[in-house]
Amino acid sequence: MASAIPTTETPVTLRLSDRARAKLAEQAANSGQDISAVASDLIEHAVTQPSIDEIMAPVRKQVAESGMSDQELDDFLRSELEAHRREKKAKLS
Amino acid sequence: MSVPLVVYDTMVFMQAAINPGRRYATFEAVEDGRLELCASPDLMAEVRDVLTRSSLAKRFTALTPERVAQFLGKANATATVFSAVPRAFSWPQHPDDDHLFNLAIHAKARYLVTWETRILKPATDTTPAAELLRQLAPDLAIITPKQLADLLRP
Repeated sequence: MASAIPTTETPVTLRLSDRARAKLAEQAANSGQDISAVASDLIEHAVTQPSIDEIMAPVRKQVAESGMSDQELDDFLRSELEAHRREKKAKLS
Repeated sequence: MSVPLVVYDTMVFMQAAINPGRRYATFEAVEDGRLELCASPDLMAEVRDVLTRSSLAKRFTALTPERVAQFLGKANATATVFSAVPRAFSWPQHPDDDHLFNLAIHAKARYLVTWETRILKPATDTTPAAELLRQLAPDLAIITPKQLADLLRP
């Protein structure tokens, strides 16, 4: 969280859509914080946390090096999903 | 103008995680605000459970539970999560996919995106179940990621 580490006040002007503004206000109301605090946390998180591409890069590298085609990979994932569903059903019955 | 709501099926989530070549514009459109992603605990649990199966981890050792949790955390952060999704609909041929249809119905989603023929089928089927789905979700389009990318192209 932004408040757990040293921070510096950084004045900015946000230009938001009505939807984004409403969502920000909703999050502020739900968390009991003001809009500035919620926006600060969101920006802190967005610029310091790794993106999905960064998180998954090592996996994607292994997938690429495996030589599996898109179709083979789809078939593999599909068979794993089907196996998971079968096992889940068996546990429930 | 409101942003269209979208439901991605389990395979689309898994492809986004490990094979970006197959995801087309799905997650980019959520990240840049052109679509609003809808999720449910059932859907996210299924994605987590499959991505953490030992057979996947054996083949791709970098696919650790921690990495999967990080991926799901990011996906959850960009999604509107519907925690209580009523069971309004069942697709008799493949009831395992009911949670996706029910999420789309409950969220009033504009798109349900999937590569799976069995999930695409109700869009064109004339069975009573397919008719019921169209009544429950009259604005829902069931399309592939590629079709979604074509629709989003300016």
